Amino acid sequence: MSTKNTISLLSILCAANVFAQTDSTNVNNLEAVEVKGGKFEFRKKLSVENKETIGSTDLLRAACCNLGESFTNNPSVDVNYSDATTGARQIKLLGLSGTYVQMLTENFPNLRGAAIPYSLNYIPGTWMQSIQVSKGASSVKNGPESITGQINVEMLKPHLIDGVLGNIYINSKLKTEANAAGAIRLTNKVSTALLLHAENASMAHDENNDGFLDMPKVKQLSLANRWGYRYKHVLSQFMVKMLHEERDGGQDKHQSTSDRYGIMVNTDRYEGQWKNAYMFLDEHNTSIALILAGQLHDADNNIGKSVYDVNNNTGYAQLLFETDLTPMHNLAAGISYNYDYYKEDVELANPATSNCNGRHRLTEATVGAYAQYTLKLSDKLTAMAGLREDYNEAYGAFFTPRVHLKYSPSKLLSLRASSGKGYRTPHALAENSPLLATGRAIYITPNLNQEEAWNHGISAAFSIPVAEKTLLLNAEYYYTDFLQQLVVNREQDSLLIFENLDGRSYSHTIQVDATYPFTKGFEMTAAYRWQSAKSTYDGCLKERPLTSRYKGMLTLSYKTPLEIWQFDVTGQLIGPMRLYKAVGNTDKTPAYGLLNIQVTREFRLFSVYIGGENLTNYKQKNPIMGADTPWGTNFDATQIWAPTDGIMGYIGLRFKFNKY
Amino acid sequence: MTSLATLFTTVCLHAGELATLVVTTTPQMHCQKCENKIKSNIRFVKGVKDIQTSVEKQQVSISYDANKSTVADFEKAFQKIGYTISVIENTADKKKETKK
Repeated sequence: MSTKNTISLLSILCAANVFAQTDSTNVNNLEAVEVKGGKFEFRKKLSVENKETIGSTDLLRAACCNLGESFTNNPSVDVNYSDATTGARQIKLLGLSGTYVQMLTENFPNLRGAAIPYSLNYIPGTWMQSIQVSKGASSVKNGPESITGQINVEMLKPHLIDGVLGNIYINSKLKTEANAAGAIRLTNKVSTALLLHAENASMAHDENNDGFLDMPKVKQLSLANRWGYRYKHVLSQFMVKMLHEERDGGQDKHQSTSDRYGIMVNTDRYEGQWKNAYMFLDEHNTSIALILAGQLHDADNNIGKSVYDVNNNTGYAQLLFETDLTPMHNLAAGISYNYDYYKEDVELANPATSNCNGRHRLTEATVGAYAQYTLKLSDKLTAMAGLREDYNEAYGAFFTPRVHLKYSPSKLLSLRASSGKGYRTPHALAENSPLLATGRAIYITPNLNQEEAWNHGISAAFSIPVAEKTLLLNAEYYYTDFLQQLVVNREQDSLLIFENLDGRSYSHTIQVDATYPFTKGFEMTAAYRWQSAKSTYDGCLKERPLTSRYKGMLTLSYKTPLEIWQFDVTGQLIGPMRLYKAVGNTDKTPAYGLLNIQVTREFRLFSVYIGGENLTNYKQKNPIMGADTPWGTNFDATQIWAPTDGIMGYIGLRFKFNKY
Repeated sequence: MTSLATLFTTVCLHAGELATLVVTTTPQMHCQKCENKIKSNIRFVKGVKDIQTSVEKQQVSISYDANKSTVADFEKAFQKIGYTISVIENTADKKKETKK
């Protein structure tokens, strides 16, 4: 598939550099692009960054009920459960936890701070248009917080929805979901969309009979309203979103008698964003834009006898300017302001041995300015250099340099290199609240340092003609080196310590992946990743716990000639991990395999999909340590390295009523 | 082995009478989105084997089993998505004439 075919321009009326910020090439003249397939080809040829796009077709290859389930077929991103009780999941990229991946929605920072633990459940699959995964140092435009990369989620736009889309889903655990997105074009300039989502997992199941629910009962309701305005050189997008979620887990109410260990996490979240752009000097693709965004996040965590209530409010503003000085030279510059407010009420189960009880208030304002220059010498060489200076009221001024190079000596090969720095403020409990599902005493070092790391990477992407088809081969290496880091230390029995790094901390990641279309409609992707992530714990450099040494993935996808049937198979091999607390005689987990299959049948107005996850039925035996004594110091539900749920089947229906 | 292949070919030939229908549309196709709209809907007409569209030539070429569908079926299917069609060529007609 050629690049031209790969990209479907759904809207080309206006050039809007500001709405596609992460690619500083002329490609970003497009307001919105939809990549229906062939994500690797898109990545290799266009972007100066090592970027993969998960397009609308890829999102349909698995149930993809929410953001966390959208990476099932992606070899680069791992999604793991944080613990065995709350259902919280976290992303891992380049062998490091999700806090080091900057999450963006429509190219501005979102899902930060207290939203991190359950954020992967906050964006329903049906609402998403595409996801871009950038590995390594990213653009400086979105702030200094990206360390291992950026994940940007593009949501459905009002003017790009052709009527009403919907999805209904039920699985063998009786979890049900329904979501819909509908849009209407009120005038030639104004369009609006309403996005709805409801899910309910209310059945208790305890397959390993440890007395604890394998997954919490979850109820979630969310809705969003979007508005779009487009007229000549002016673009404006406005969105509000509300979410309410209740999680109820822990010991089974029907089996436990008194003194039940319960989990209750109630969350209310409100988001607003307003993006405005004005385009002028068409021959230079010049634009100026203002982005305003805010989030209110209120989470009440009751985990056992520990209570952690957090309010995290954020305000964000960015003013940016971008222009092509000449076809060879692009310049972007901007200023940004970010304000975070945290109010934490902490009552931990064992106040005598923990040091963080009480009410804590924190405000943090960061103001920054950046400039990014892109040089494009023909189609062969692209260089992008970005500098930003930020001032944080707690940590003072800091400087973020990032540089990217892409060299394509021929159509068969693209070489990329990147290097850059990232900084972020850690919030020990807000970002790690599921870790409260432990009987350990919790200590937080006063005066935590701002996290600071370098990331360097190189990659080579080959497009090799084989038997009249193109084999896409990618090889990459990334190195992340922390100068300052929040270390989660669970090496000592009965203690969970959040402390500043004292020593070295780094990760090496090597990944090779290949995609080949054997016949029309039949494509295979094979990937292998090796990683070594180490940190210093109590003076000893050790492997980061619960981080696999390797991962292998094989995906097969077959579509019948008219794409009426689609068959998708994904197999994964997860390598051994180090346990922070040995189980029996070993502190290493075994390697294990996972298998997911989905079959989709398209009809004119709807499609039906049926599938199975974890068909190998691999489960971690006894995922909760000390489950029989939940109030003891040996109790720990956070050493999770494999699924706690067994084989699961599901069926769903997607529908689409177009406006004709 | 040879007899198996012969049998397979015979079965395929008798299974359907493959024809090609080439049409233009009103309104015209303007972009890939128009092409996708046509492809994603017309594929559900019975007997359709392949659909090719060309914005440049303003033509839609459909391979189909003439025993399962007629031009009238395609006209109805295009109408449902807001198009009327004009037939440029239908090889099923030629075959009928040849048989006469």
